[in-house]
Amino acid sequence: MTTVEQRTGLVGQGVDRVDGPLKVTGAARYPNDFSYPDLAYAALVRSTVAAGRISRLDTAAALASPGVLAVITHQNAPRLERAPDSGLTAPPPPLQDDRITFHGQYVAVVVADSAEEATAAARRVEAEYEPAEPILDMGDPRAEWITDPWGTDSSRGDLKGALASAEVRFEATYTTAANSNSPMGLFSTVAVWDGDDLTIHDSTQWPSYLRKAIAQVFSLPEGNVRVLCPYVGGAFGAGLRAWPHIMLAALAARTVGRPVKLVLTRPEMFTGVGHRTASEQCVKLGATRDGRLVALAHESTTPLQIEGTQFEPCTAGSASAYACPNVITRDRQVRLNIPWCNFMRAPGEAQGNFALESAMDELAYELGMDPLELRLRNYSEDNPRLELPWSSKSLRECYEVGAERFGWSRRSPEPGSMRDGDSLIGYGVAGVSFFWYQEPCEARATLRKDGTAVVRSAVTDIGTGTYTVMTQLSAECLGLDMAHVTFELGDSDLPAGAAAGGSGLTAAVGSAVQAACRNLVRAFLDTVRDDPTSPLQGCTIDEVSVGGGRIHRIDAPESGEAYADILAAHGIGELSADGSSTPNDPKVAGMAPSGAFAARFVEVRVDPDLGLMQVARVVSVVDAGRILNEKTATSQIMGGTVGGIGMAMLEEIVTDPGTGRVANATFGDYLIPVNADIPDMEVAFVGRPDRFNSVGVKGVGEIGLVGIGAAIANAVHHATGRRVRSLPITIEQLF
Amino acid sequence: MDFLRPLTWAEALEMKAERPDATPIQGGTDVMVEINLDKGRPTALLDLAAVAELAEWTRDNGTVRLGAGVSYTRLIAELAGDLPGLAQASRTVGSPQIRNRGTVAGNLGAASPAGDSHPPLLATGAEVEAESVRGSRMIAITDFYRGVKRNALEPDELIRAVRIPVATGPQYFSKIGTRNAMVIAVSSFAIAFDGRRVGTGIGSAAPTPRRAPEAEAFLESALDWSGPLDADVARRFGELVRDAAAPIDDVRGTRDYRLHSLAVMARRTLTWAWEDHLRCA
Repeated sequence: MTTVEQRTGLVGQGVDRVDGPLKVTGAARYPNDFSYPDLAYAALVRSTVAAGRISRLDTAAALASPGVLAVITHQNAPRLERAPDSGLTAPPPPLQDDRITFHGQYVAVVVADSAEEATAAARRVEAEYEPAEPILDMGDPRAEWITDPWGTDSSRGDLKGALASAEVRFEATYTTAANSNSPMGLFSTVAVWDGDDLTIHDSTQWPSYLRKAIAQVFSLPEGNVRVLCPYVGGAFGAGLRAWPHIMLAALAARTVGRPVKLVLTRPEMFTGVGHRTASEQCVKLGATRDGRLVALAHESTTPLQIEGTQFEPCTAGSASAYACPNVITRDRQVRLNIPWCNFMRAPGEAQGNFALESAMDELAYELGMDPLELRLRNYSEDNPRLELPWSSKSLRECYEVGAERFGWSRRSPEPGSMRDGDSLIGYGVAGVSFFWYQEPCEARATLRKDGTAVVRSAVTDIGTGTYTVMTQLSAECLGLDMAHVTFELGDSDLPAGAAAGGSGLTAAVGSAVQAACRNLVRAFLDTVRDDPTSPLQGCTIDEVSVGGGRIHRIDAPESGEAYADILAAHGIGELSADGSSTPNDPKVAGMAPSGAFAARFVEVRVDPDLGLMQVARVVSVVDAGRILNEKTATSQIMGGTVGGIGMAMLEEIVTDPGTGRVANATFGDYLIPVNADIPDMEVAFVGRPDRFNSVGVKGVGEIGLVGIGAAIANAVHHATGRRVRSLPITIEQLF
Repeated sequence: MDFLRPLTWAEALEMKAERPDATPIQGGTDVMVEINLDKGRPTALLDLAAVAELAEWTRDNGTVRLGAGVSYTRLIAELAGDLPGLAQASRTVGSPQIRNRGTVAGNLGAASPAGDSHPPLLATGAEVEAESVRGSRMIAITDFYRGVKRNALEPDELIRAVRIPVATGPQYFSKIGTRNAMVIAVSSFAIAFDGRRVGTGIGSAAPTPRRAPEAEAFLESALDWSGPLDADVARRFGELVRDAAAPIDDVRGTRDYRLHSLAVMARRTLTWAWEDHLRCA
């Protein structure tokens, strides 16, 4: 695929975030920063049982509280429609009946003149329940099981036979805890009605979908709804669904006839915007004595909200991770009375990789082989599941560069053999891939008479750097300085955008931006096609290049014309063009779309007397295809690594076994890493532009989290000889 | 909830006499957490932040009189030489923001067994200066803790200051947490040498913070103050500290781990203190 860009070398440079100054000066407006005259505030009331029915709901005291405008419950809420299924199914609309399916479900919303009055009145709503025995444990015989929920299970060869005849067999069960996305920014919605038009400021990762969902819930034409989210205070996947609290904010605003602001509390963030599921996984490996995998089985069971949906394939990555002829991967879900499971940075892969890469490490010790060597020996040159060549794969280089930078050769193989004073030292490695999911995306590029451009798409920047990299890409595609380009996003009235999720946004919006910019250059060429005074007269797109605010002929770079001059000469105020992107088809392309690959090397230090573990170093070498901005990409890997350390060492949603209540729904009790837990992190990128999309990227948003759990557990084993097969790894497991 | 805001110490004492139900609040790092988490709502808050004299400390006759309003940050910056054990413990409190607000007196008022100040206060034999409109009295630190989150203050009393002996020998504090900062202690321990006397303090491993008197007595008799530390003595000291504790299982840690870690921390802090002792001797 040819493009007009790649001239200035702007793309790839680690330029500072264009939104950085706005953020550090507080000028960037997050959803809860928006205010309106006559703004009212909403507070939520949540169920205190996990299953059953509401038997009595007394709102009299709340209604009589100072400042209260309305109390909405299932007894007086209007009928709401269910949002469309996008693959990211919205939970059912709230307050439609008396059924309770999890502890923390909304049973009322209180609207008042101030946030304090709403909160105070919400405490006065009296709810009584006819509780049912909640299903909270995956072992509960009443629980409904779903096998192969997404059709992703895979099977090739003869697993049973290969396992039975393998020279070396290994089998183990691994578990991971439920994790909370816990972005810093509390999710907030400000809903404003103007007749039948609804404007929503929200912490969403996907404004185009949220508009569609909210329109359907309120039976409105889609064009009546506008979703605004220029800045989002983090999300890690939590902003991908149309959550009930968003619907309640809009409902509250319509009910009281005033704009309404709803800011979730930190405890509500634990029950209201999803979480990463816990997992139980079994891995079976068969190998030859010299370390060739002959059999690989990976089976996973994850919980699911009793009425929910969630795409969380923990084992899918194992089908293509290694060159192994006999493979089975299977995922199952079990319906429980727990809050909604949802996407959290590297869903499925974060859990699945822990099991597979721990098992590979264990097999390496069984074989007496260097764990790195075992991985290289089973390297898959082609995608073994699709039997197609990868669109790009430099994982071998990741291993080689990582081992060199980390100093893997200094590792002495025997567990417990490396020591520094009171500390045992352990080295661990994990190989990683994270697939990306591209969705259709549109963009529009506009050049104005002053020679500046604005490029727009209804996507979001959840802190990843989308504003910055798309400004870079647009500037390069149009031959402008970055200072002359503005990228606008976070508004559903802009051309329909893809979700900031699945590590696929940059591929989706980047391809659309490239197309829009190319079409815009075409539009300029069309304008001068019959202009005898223009040096570009009659030129086709393939005959020109761009730079310095002008289009010029490739064969005669001095022959060209500035955008602004063309517009002025033809009396045009501005010129716009649209572009769109759709995902490539692997069969048509004749290649297997590669996710990003990475090798993670970790050093831990364990105080064996006290069971205290510290991650001392992390070296990550990543093949993410083309890197659009080395600085923001590095930040993504580092941020993901911090998340991985949290998953490995600290993070666990504790659910009270009797009641289904989340018992640690605060940052005092649900521990996430602090600075003192985080070591120096070295990040390097290798590889080449990927061939599967025109931008050449593979996505860096999620891969940074994957593999840290396994690399840490493997390092702990190397340090201490103790194999920990459950995350998080706690003091008690090590002393 | 009533909010009382005295501007002077005398006014504060009068308000407390009038409203013995009022909960004193200084930095708010404990009280506000309880309120925000809905763990009870005081009928009144007595905000001491505006009482200027509380934010002062003085040194007199080998004792620091630490005003009830002196923040951990100031203690660390200004008193690390005089009160090294307490300064070490203060450095492990929360985050910089919390250390800017929190105080040792607040830790005493809350009387949580996990409070970080308690072990060094016990190890150094501090006294709590309590005052009411009826007068002032000194409460020995060992008499101060009365139960989980209960202390020896009368309903009309406020903490005016804490009196802590200026260090004459090495002091160490050690704490186990479930992460490396911003965390409540799983277990903690402090040791202080004063001449040939040894003080100890155990945190987060009994209904109240407490000393380990048998361990102290053992060490005082077993130590040969001129030579290297006998490994058996150090081990036995750790065991006696462990035996002085009475921990429970809770969300942060198990009883067994708390006992084990106390023995290790006691042995290690003794070793560090001994190295200092030999260096200075």
